[in-house]
Amino acid sequence: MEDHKKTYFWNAIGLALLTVIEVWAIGLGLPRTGLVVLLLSITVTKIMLVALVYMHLRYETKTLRRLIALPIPLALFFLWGVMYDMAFDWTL
Amino acid sequence: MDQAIPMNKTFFGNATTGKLGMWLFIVMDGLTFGTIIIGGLGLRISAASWPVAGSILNVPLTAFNTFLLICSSFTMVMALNSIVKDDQKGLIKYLAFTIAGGVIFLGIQAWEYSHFIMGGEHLGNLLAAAGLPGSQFLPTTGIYGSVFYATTMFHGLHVLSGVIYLSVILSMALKQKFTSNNYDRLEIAGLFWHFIDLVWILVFTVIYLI
Repeated sequence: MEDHKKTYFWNAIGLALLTVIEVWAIGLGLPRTGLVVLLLSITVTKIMLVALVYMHLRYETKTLRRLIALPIPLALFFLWGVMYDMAFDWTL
Repeated sequence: MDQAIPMNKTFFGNATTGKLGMWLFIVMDGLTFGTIIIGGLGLRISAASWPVAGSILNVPLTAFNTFLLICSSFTMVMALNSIVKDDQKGLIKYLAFTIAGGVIFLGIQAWEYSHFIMGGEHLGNLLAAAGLPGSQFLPTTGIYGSVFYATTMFHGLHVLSGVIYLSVILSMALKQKFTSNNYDRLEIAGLFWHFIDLVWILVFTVIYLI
């Protein structure tokens, strides 16, 4: 394994800056949909930074990366199912 | 002793069985977190009202907690970086910083909970403005309280587990059990700790900001 000290450091700085932008964004008075899209985009970016750099996923093989990504469509399907269910007001 | 077993190099590169096991656990645990978060979103949609971000929860304090977890992820990966260079002192130092980060995170979360459970006139006014009853913010304070405590407490228990796990790894490091050729257990523990950070990033956005 190589020495990635600088990469790790700048990744932490990037993550901290993105957190500051998130907190700053909620006070901007942006339209609700725009704010949600912005915050979720930043969150996905931060998650990718942690997974790829700190969890070393970018150094793993494609097979392992695909295996790890496999349940994401499952979670999205569950999200869709819950939202669909909400439309009928069956829960609560 | 503790020699990691590499899997088939064609499919998984140099990943060991232990590392693959941890990835499998992370995927399963991630699905559990996903269920809690998506379930919370469903309950939120069906709720009559939902407090505005920052009206009850302390966003700046939690943002600091997020920063703390990011720093602890950095120190964790630096611990791994140290042992790759056979730097035993660096390994112990960074592992201790990581554990300290987790303990401070838990301390702040405990303080936040105690503030909500003790309640008071100011909190009561904030809750009333958000359409919630009482002067305390408890797991029974409507769907909002249930979703908040279920999600943050489940994550908090993961942080506690991570602190205990890393303490065991630190005790092994103090006995110089890791070398530049044998650090698989450290890397596996690191994966778990980074996963805790990764999940918190999502929890922070969904529970505190949106």
